[in-house]
Amino acid sequence: MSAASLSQKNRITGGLVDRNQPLGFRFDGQHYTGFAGDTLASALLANNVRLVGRSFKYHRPRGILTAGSEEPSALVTIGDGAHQDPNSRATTAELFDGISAKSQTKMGLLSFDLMAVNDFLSPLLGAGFYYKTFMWPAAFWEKIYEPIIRKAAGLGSLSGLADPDQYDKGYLHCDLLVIGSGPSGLMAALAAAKSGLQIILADEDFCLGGRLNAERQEIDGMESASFAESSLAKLAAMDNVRIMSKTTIFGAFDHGCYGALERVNEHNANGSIRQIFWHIRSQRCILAAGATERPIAFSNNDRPGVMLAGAVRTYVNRFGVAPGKRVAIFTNNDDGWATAQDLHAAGVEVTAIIDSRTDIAKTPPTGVPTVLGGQIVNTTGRLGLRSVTLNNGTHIPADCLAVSGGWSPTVHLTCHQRGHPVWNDAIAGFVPGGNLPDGMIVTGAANGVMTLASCLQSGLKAGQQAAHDLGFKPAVIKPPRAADESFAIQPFWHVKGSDKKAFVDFQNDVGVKDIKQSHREGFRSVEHLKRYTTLGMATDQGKIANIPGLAILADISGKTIAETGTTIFRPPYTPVPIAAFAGRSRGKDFRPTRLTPSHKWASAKGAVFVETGAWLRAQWYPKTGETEWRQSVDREVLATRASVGICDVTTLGKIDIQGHDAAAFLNYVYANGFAKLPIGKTRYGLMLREDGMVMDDGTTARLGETHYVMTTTTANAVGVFRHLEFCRQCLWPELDVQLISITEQYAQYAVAGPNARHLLEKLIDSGEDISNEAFPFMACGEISICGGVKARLFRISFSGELAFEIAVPSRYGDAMIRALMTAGEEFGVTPYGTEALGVMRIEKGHVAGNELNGQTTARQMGLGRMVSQSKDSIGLVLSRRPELVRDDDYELIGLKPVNSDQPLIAGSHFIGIGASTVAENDEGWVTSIAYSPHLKSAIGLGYIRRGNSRHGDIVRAVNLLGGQDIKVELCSPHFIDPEGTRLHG
Amino acid sequence: MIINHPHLGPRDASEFTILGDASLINRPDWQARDADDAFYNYQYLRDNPAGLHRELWFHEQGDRSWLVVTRDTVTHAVIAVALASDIAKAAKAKTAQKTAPKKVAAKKTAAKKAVIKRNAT
Amino acid sequence: MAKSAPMSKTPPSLTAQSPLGGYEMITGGTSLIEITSLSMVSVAPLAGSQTAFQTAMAKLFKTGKNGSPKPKATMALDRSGKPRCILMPSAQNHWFLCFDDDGTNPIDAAKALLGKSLSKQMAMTDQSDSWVILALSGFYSRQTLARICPIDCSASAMPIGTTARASMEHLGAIITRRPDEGDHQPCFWLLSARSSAASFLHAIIGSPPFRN
Repeated sequence: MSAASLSQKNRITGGLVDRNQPLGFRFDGQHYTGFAGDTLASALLANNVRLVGRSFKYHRPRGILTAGSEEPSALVTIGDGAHQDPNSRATTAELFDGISAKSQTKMGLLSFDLMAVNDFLSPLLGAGFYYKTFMWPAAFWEKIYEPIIRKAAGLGSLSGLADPDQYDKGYLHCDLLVIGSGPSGLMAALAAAKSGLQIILADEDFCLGGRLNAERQEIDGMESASFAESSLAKLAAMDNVRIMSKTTIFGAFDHGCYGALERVNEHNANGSIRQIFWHIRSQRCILAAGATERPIAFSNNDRPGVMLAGAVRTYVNRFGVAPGKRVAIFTNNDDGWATAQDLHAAGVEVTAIIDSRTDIAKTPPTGVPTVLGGQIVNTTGRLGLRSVTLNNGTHIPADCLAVSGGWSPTVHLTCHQRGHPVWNDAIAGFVPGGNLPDGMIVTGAANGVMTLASCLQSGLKAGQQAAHDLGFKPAVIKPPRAADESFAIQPFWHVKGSDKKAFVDFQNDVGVKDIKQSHREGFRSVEHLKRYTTLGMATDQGKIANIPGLAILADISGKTIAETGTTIFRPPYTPVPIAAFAGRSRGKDFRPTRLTPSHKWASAKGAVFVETGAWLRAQWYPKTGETEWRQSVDREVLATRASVGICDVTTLGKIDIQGHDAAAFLNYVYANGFAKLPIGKTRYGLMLREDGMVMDDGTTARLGETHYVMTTTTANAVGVFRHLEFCRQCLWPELDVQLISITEQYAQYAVAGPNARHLLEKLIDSGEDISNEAFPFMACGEISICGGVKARLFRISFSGELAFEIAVPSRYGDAMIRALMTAGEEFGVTPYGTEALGVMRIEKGHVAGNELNGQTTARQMGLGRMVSQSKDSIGLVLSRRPELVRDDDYELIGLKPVNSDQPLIAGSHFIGIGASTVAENDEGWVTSIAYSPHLKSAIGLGYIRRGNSRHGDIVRAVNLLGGQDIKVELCSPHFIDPEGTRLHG
Repeated sequence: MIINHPHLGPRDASEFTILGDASLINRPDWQARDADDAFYNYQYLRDNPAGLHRELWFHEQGDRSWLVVTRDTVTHAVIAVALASDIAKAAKAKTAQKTAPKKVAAKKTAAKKAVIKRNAT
Repeated sequence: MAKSAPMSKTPPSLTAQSPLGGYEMITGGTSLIEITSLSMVSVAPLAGSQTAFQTAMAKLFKTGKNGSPKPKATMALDRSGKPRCILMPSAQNHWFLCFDDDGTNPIDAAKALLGKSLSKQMAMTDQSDSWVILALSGFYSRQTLARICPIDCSASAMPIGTTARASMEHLGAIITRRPDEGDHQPCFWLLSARSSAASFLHAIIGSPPFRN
């Protein structure tokens, strides 16, 4: 322990770190020790490491400017290899044992950066540099400029490896969300919790209490940090309170929805969840996000050692670290004087208080020199501050300069629903204004209340108001005893005449000069200023830079800040890793998988599966010795047409339709008539969209007087169901119809081929009859099989063979496929997958997804006459539009290559023989292709103008992408059994 | 965004899918003389207001009800939520009412004519 | 179908399987158990029969005097004691009638519960094989739900009986709060589609306390 203390030469007494828990860490390969409770920044400062990075553009040495999430400079890469996390703010990263961090934006050594030459070239690299320089020649952009810029610019880099950590998301609900656990947030939470509200108190810090931990103030006779601790203990003891530390509320969305990022196990997750993205829904929200201190611009105000005054107090009071041995202070408000008091109390030498104000009467700590009306015009020290130079020419030695340009209320979340902050002269800052997000109350410093006692009181009131608003009786709580510290400010943004390398936005290297240039070149609105100079961009989004930037712009334009206005903020408040948004939805967990009832059986058979939406369907079933997919598919097709094959068709959408008006309803939603479909019969149904295009097709079976079952294509199952509900509820609410999906209820198998009936006859119970006479083509009905299982049988065929589809309750799905296969052994039954299914339907000329692509009409498919003109149905009227009934319209045709050895490519376009291959000569396109083992040739379906009259024509099928231009013969789309004798057999 | 479902209370918009303008409820008469134009307008012509808009939302991950949500497209404020079936029924009743008095009037005219006829004879 | 001469051979019988084969997992005082042997029939009164349905349900679930006078869109009715009988709202004017499976055809069993004349006025569809039902109960069950269920499942927002459809990990689901178990331990039934039961289970046990 003593060794740990010894190595930390800037560690002083006090603070909230645990000196009994030393933690070892590395920075740029060097070993250091800190304590539990440190941030990486406080531990580095304790070890007197001031230089932590290089700036973005000019590669200037940079140190630690703040003690919070507003940090623009101290961005480091934490972790190694796949775990490496770039652009981590050293000021918020909790120190862990064994943590390894690296500095960024450097070439070579941090202390001797090869790119630092940019600093000398800075006169050339001003605002709009990229816009002006890399304009010409255009060809240079991709090959030369961009790679150079990419290499030189940017912050930290990603590992390029998959993120090995685990992330999750979740949902939380509460009456009140309190954001921020400083004096106002704590009081708001206490008041609301005691009133009985369900509350969430969230703070981005790992140690709650906000500025109470960073200041030496007294509340109820206690140190402010102790008051925070005891208040948190009270809250933690209440059932209706959830305290979330390390949790950033990064966005306020519509109607009381908030996005939160909880860093559960940062840098030591070891397989457990690292971060959780929470969706929080809250009736009310109290924003107690505090305020952010801002710098003053003067030449070389960015040297390591220059720090915001509030941050200096944080390091001294919360972490027990002196950021320097000799500290100078530059301020335009009373904050600087408080800093001097705290440093003095901690035994740190203060070399001067330089206040830009002249007419103030403040007492400095004993022996501290003060310069009223003083201004810093420059600083010295190459890799760290050595001294500051005043406007009167004096040099004051300092290895740390505490700067305070005043405080800006943290209004970010108030802007997320387009609230627009308004200028407040008294605090020289923007306070929340315009439309706040639903149910948001802003309190404390975030609302421009800048002193302790007032913050405590305003938080208390806000908590009571939230309780009252939600119908709770507000708890009566005595405000804690505390004093309002002195608060006075006189705006002072930059030192005139000290423009050179006077930085405003430290992260983007934007200085006073750039703002002046932007104004000179006509980019004068705050929005233009931001885009032109990049002021306020990148990871910190200008948390400390925006206000000084636009104040300087106002000054140059001769306008007030109120007139100049402000940019507003979007989510996220601080960067959120994409991985956290993805949560657990990665890889195989990206979306759920639906498995058919025969899946287990098919897997054991070695089936190859294909994704169809969320479904996994067997694509083909390779047999031993088959080395190529076509061998399996050809075999499956031939075997099915020769004897019998089985295909799992469970994935088709199935909708149960019942009600007295079910027939009338079907008549409306299908283009063809359903009124006269008898019980026990199935009919092909064609569904149009209201614009007259084909939406979907399928079969609908009538099982009873008022009972129908509709099937849809696998792909459109969800859309068709939604559409039917629309028709039922919005168009014909007077009809008595009930709908429910039964896709999941039944395992359904197609049994196809000349032996299909023979196979099924082995499974049906005695007394059932499925002969052609008793159960003809398109028959349907309930049937008892396998000793009393109630199944549904449909005599429908997609393959063109004698075929049945048998549906059993899903619980029997696995047993059913096994029973079918066993019963079919004597016929050499063959299971077939979606590929063979596709081949057979193309051979038969049945349309499927490729032909029903949403741009095709019934007429084009050769189904025009199915659209009944004698009843109203969806799509009827618009299907008669002139353009959809042209004589020279596209019509479905079949096609074969003239040379049967040649394959076809789907998507090829038809061009006449001898015509040039240009769009004007395009006559149509190929929709589906397959190899037909029966015709021993590739075959296809397609659309071509006047197709019906062109059977026998030879045209070219041209596919420029596939590099193919071949002659094809057009033919009827029915390649096999055009008379349909097989399926009626 | 939260949609206050008339039966189920406030539900997150992610449970819904949106179709668009609620005027889709008012499907034209297929036999009207101007049916072609009426369907064309119905299918393709939409208002796109900045402000109040009546929209059809489907509670797909809920009770499968179609809702008419009156919403401010600028602020996202949800002003009113009703069951589309109620609105559709009311609209149909209104149309029926409109045509009903005409029939009565027609009857009256017929009666008058009959009187005139009788007088003539 | 017309009857024909009896077949000579008896066909093989079929063995039923539950969606997850009777899954059970107990960890850290929280349990996840697949509910099997429950029949589920969707019931929807046809036009003009709403009142008759409500009266019958009030009688079946004895809610006439003390409880809710009629089924509500967000609350399940539960007949206390055995055998189990629950009426869950599933959609507008649409319900799931759940009861212990005693081997009777679910539709026939539902008809017996509703009575002959009312049954004729109802649309009824067997849903017994459409859903996987997982009972999640115990002290940490709400922690599990916080990761997958967007709906507020707190005791105050979701009193016993509350039933809602929701989307969990991209899957349509139904959550219903069942009577507490043992020492005031909350219990929820989670229902989702049978075909994606494995994905649904994966989502639940990918949440605490089943994993960290």
